[in-house]
Amino acid sequence: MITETNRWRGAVAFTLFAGAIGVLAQRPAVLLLAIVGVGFAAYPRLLSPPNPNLVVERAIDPETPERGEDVDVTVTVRNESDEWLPDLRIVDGVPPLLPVVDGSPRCATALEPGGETTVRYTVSAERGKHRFEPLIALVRDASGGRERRIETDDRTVIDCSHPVENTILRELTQWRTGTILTDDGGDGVEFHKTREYRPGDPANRVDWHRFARTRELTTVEFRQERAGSIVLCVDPVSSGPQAGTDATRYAVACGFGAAGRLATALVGDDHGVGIATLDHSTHWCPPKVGSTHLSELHEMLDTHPGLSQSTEAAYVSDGGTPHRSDGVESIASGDGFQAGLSDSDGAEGSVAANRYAAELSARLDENTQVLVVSPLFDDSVVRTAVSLESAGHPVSVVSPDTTGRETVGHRLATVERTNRIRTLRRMGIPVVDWDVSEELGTTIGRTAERTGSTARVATQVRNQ
Amino acid sequence: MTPTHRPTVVAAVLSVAAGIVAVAIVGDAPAQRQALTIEVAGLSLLAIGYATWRRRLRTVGVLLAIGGVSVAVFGLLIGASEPARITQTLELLPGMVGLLVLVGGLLPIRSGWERRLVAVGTGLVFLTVVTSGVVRGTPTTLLLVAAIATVLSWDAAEQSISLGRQMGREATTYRSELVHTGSSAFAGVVVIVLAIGVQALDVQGLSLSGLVALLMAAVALSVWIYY
Repeated sequence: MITETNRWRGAVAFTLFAGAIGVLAQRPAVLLLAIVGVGFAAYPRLLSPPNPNLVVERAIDPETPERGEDVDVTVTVRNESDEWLPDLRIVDGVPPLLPVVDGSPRCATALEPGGETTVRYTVSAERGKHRFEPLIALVRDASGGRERRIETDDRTVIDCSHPVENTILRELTQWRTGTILTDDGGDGVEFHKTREYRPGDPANRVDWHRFARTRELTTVEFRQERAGSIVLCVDPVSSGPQAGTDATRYAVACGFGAAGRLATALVGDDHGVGIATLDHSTHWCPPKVGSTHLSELHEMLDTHPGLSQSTEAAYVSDGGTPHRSDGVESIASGDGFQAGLSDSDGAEGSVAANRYAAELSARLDENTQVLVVSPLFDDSVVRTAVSLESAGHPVSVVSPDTTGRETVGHRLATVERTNRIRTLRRMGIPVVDWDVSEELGTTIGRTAERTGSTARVATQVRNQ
Repeated sequence: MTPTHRPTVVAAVLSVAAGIVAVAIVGDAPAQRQALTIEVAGLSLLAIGYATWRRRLRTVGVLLAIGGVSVAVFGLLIGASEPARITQTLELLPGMVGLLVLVGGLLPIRSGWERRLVAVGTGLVFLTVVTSGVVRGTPTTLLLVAAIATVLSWDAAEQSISLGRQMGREATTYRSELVHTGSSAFAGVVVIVLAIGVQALDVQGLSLSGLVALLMAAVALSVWIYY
């Protein structure tokens, strides 16, 4: 996109002024100064508009930082075209939630053909998955008269979320050996019951102690451990009054991070894992097993548009105040959560939630569980979860809590969220209420303990 | 770390330097040069004071800046009283005030006013150049060089503000500033050569109506280029 900056417009005024004075005062030398104005008015027209070919590489170190750790970002921009770029302005798309603590993500330079420049800066990591926004390059010709704006789409992701070892799953049921305990007897490690011997039972399952005591043949059964098929249903909070606020972006970043880690843990336990997003779109990846599939899942999470709900504003205008903030001042103090608002759009929202639940339900196999990852910012998520549950898919919810307590609006949002959690639990849907300053695995373990289940590698959580 | 969207340093310094050159070229009487020298010293002191203030040495910075402004105003007073003829004063004063306003716009003394102050400042410098041509009949070549210096001063200031707005003062921008100002200076040299060529055609021999016709052509060309 080429824009005229019209920066040399003032030369016309220069021409008129010098010309007028020259004529009025009858001074040819002053009249001659008008040529200077005409010359500079024509100057930008004599240059061809810039036509750059830029190659951008972004490296981050470390790629999976701890919370609060400094992450060094190095962006290299190379001029692959065979012309000079006299005025190249680079603004890297710093993830909105990560504050820049050292250096500047911006730079202006001139690049010869084949030349390259490097921008180095440091951001401070926050919990969750954070995607860089497109790098913006503004290229002007030597006069500054024409400007071409380029966005490069290298979407690097900084993942600052803890690995989880426990996952939350409901009783389960698909016939494949795995790690979820069932109430059915069979092969396994945990004792289930003994029963009468039936011909064909393997000799190592016969209870020989009892045979020695009573001469009766009995067979020991263990609780069967099976693998499940789970769909992670991630909520990008793309609509509603909370959409686009910093608190929401933070919740979504944490949610996507958690979804990625849960997917890794579940696939590691040989479950089939799929991903759907709750934004009524077609983002859908059916449950499968295996590490190839896992990288597909991560790819899908990393590239989902909901992950960086950029504030439209990434533009850098030199005429007004630039909109892009290089990181937020404070996540908790966000401007979101105006009071009283999230009682989402009543009947309409309800219809949409039901329709979405029906669409998703149609895609799921009978035995597929749904694990909803949502900050529970509006009621439609609750409706969707309840609809899925009543359609026969066991639903569990992991809910990152990023709501603050500072203002009345924040406290009201917190109360509403607590009510939603209560509603879900009343419907028999287990909810992990995850305070994001803790590790998710710890919270899941505690939730499992409280509900009386054993926290194992894959934790089974019964209805609360 | 919030970026500071103030004009970038290198182009700002180039801009003020070009402005000083423009004023110095037309104000070549000893009294004028003396007044200008004092003002430049005051402006440098002001800039140093501002830089000190930004580096958290608030008191020292403010004292230096006040000292700088005082020296610059003293230079203005000398420029107003010292020169032997009233024409020299008329010629010099707008430029000296213009330089002060230009520096004020590039510091900037008020955020959001950079472009306005720079336009007024360089406009006043140009007024000095034109006045010099009218009241004193300064040689054409000197007048042309001073006019080009004025344009360069405005152009560098514009580049400085634009880069400051988009990139912030923390970003590394000097290459862009130098290359841009350099190519504008080159364009200026070409324009001088053209103008001297036009002068060699002996337009001065033309009647006033001929000159007016030429002027109208120039105006039509500029207007066609932009509207």
